[in-house]
Amino acid sequence: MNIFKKLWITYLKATYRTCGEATLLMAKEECAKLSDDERGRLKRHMSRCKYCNAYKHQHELIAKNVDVMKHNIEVDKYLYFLTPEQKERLKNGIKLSE
Amino acid sequence: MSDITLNPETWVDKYGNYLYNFAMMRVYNSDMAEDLVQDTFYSAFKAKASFMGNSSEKTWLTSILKRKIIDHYRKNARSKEDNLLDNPEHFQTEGILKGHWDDNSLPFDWGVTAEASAVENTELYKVLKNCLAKIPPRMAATFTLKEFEDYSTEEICNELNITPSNLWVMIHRTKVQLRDCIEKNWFKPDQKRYS
Repeated sequence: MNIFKKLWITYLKATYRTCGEATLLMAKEECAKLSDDERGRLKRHMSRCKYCNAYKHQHELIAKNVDVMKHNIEVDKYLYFLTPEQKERLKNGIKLSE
Repeated sequence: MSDITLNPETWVDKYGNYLYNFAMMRVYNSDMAEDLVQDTFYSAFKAKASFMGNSSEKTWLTSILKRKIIDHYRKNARSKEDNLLDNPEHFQTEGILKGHWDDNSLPFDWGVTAEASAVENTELYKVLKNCLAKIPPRMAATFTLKEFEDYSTEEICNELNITPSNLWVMIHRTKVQLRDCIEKNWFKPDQKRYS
């Protein structure tokens, strides 16, 4: 790791908390209201940390793709298909229920 | 009683793939998904007398499957298959950089917009599908209930019998693992672009 990166992260750590805490606060924010202190800490960290901003953007992409997956199942565009053997087992299961 | 007649003998052909996909996207395991669909058909068959016809056959079967999936999550939530408090090892654990991204896990710019990535045949879509299958079951349950079922925090905590604090931590670790898996499987090292 070069000296500039070390200095940069030392500065971040002293002033804006760690990336681990920032990403945890992002997860918490999705589930609950952050306190003023937490919101401030997260905001300050995000205003300085390019890595956590990249992390946030990555999850926006993931969320978009999850939406596509959900939609595709609803419109019968499937990712997976039952094999003939699986279908046979399921049909036999129903017959056995009778 | 309703005008809708249940036809169990057609369920596999009409709804088999739909229910199988529904289960696969929530448990990420083909054997388990098949078992859940089988259980759903069995329970539906046994309960067919109670079908009121307020919904379609497909919706009714899906609601039974959803219940089976939640029961499956609960069973896994009680197991010690994966440890909630395991360190995801994506952050440095000592030195002046403790708590910051580990060099091997630094997030980088994937170089795509959300709109461009959200096409079913993109590499990201395929890799995401495979990475979801690698998440430990308890963590997958929280991610799925939140992202696929749009459950509230309270609902997830009640269903899985966990505290809100545990939920944040599990979602956090799931997300960190998921993005790390995608990066490792989607990019070659020389393709990394730091923003």
